[in-house]
Amino acid sequence: MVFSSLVFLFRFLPIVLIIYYLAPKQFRNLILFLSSIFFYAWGEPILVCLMIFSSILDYFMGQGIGAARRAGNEGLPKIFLTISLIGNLGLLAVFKYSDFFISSINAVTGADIKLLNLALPIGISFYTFQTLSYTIDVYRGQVKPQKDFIAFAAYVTLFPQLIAGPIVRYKTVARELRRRKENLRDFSSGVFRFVIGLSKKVLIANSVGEVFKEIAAMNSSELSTMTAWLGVVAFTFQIYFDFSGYSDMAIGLGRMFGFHFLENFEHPYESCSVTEFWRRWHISLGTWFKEYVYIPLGGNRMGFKRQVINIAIVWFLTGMWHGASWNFVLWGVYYGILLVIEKLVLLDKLENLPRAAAHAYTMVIVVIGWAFFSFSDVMFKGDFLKALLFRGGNGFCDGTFIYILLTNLVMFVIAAIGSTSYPAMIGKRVFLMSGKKKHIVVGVFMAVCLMLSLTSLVSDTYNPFLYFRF
Amino acid sequence: MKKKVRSVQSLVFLGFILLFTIITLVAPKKDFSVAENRALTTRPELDLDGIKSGEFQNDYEDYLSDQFPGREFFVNLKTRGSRLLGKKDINGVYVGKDDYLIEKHAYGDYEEERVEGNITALADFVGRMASRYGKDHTCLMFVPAKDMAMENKLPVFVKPFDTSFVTEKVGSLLDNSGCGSDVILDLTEGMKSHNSEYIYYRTDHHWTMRGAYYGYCDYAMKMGLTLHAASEYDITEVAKDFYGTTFDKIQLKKEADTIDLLTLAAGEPSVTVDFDNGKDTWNTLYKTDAVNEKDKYTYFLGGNTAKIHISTSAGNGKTLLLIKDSFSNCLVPFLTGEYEHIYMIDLRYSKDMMSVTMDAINAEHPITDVLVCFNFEKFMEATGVTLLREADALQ
Repeated sequence: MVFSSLVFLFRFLPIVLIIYYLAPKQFRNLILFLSSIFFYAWGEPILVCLMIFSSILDYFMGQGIGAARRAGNEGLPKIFLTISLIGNLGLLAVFKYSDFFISSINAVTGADIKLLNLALPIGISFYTFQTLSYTIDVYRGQVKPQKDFIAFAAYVTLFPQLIAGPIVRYKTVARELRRRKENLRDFSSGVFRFVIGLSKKVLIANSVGEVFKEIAAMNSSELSTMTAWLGVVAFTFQIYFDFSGYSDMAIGLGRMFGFHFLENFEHPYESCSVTEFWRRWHISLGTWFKEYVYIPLGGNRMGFKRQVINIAIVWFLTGMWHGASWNFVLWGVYYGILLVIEKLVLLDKLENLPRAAAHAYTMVIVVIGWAFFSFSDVMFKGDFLKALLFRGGNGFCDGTFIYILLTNLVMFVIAAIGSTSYPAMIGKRVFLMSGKKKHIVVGVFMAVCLMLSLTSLVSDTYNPFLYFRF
Repeated sequence: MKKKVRSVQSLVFLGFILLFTIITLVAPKKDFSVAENRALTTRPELDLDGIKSGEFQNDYEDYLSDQFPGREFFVNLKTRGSRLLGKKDINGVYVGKDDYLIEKHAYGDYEEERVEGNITALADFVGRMASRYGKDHTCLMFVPAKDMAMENKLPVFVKPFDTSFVTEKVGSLLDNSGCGSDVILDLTEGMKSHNSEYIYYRTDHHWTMRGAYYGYCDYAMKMGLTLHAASEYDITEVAKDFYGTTFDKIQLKKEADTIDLLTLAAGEPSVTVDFDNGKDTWNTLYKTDAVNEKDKYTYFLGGNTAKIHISTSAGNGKTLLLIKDSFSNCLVPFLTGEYEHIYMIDLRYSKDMMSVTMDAINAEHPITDVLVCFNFEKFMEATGVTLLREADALQ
């Protein structure tokens, strides 16, 4: 199930909200757990059992580590952690990466092993990483194991962040799992956040996404270089509004139920260096890799050479996490290299440049990165790549490019401004200036966003999230 | 104040979702949408296999969106919003000059395998017909889609989807098989030369009867049939306020279309029209009731049927096998003076292999001429074309 759908907005959510708030507090985690299972099973009726398996496994591993520690045993905790790692990473390896491994082996050795063609379970990259963060943190002694299975299962399956993040570390919500106080302040801020996210996804992401889709489908005779790059720019906006809009909805929904998740995006397209970009983009993933891969490998505490290797490993894995295909690995490695270069040389130089120049540099790097990223096996067309590299069938610039640019110019401008912090600032100012009419201004704003989003949802019957393959 | 704002935020949201939850539960459900010309998804039945495969869930979501009240209103709103943002094509339709709504096509819209399969089957069939009935009696006629013909009405900087590759591919297959690509009549350039006239509907993807007239002229010149000058025809407006298929896609009401009927002033041949081996019989080619229906293009032969047999007063012993799509419905009136019998076969509705169909026709009135007439766009997405391939290779 997808947040930006009629079935979620007008069937699932109202029913869950009503049941949740009518029920006595002790049943609320159970309600969240059951409704999250329903939410997930709606899209994955069979493979929902994998997620249940992952929850059960890590619940017992967490309990096991706790019990072993209390008994003074140091060997068992390691074993339990290893089991959890193998279990979760194994699920990922099999369901997400098996065909990637197989086809790579085939390509390299000339063998002809048959592909497994396993369907990728929705959200597996998210929930496995989430449960792993629990077991690892329990092992490290940073959190106490959760005794209440329902509370733990509710954490793992929590529908707000289940399918596309943010990757919520257990310790972020540990206290709230057992002791949250739903109140008007959180509920209303959650609701507002949700509406913003819904609008970002439905009104902006879907619109620029259509431009990208149209350009990506063109063949060589129709593509000029400018058109191809315009497609990448469209993708640049689509993925931001799609993903950050989804995170907004997730955070908003979490608040509606009394949970406080951490921010996942901080206006990344305002960054003035690649280093800064990765502190503002998909923050929960960057944090996860830092905490659970970079730092355990030694981070920057073992000499410069080792640091570079650690960075290389982290970015290789980050690329791979995004998809079982070499273009994603390429994308990850691309950023790894740039980050090392910045650390070595560029960051100092960037600080001496005017902000606009540093910002331009960063956006060029980011857009080129998205060019690699958007070439999944489905989208990859040799024609598209040729056009990007100035070898398109239709020259550098053509009428098609001008047409697409002009007829989408307003939307691109909206997307560009929308990806900065200006709208929020302007919004705040308008809000403050409204004096006694604040509630009317907010109410009207929300109603307009909701109606526009509904208009779009009803007229398009189908709108999956980009990150759904994860 | 803070509490007021927070309450309003919560109430607006809750009110919104509850309101539409109730509306979607309570609104009367419809089986069919006139505007979208399709059956609407009805409430799916709970069934374990359906749930396991995910089909129930998809059907339920389709059900919710199909049954959402006021769909046309929302589509219209979205179209107007998109136009406000400067978009000149919405939902696959260009909003062109002079109120022309023109469907947008791109290679990516079609399944490559199907296109290739159709091209091969068609070339194969035409080659066989040419060797059986003679090249002078065989023709493959392609009608361009509106974007190619009415280039002049497309928005600035837009190029139409060039379908000449279909003609080239079929042509080279025919050359290789020894038949020769000259049996092909590609109407694209011909239609373009008349595109300052009302040859295609503004709101529908079909050509008008005027457009079909020009198509007939090119066909007559090629096959040595009687050419009638435009002045020989009376033009009668039989229907107005026609909003066709292209309008349906974006619900944007601009100038409506009219259905103009062209009849020879000197008098048209009389006809007897038999539908699907006797299911219905008419003595005219036109469905006058269509004037009051939504799809007024069905004025021509009442729409599409698998097999139509027209007997005319031409009295020249010629029998035409016409393999068609909906474009031929307003072309056929121009053919009634040239063939005593016309058998129109629409592959999309046929169940039999072509060989079986042709045997049945030959048993009634031996075929003397073959015309295959397809609109490029519909040809590329058509499913029945492969029925041609299985036609009997003997005889």
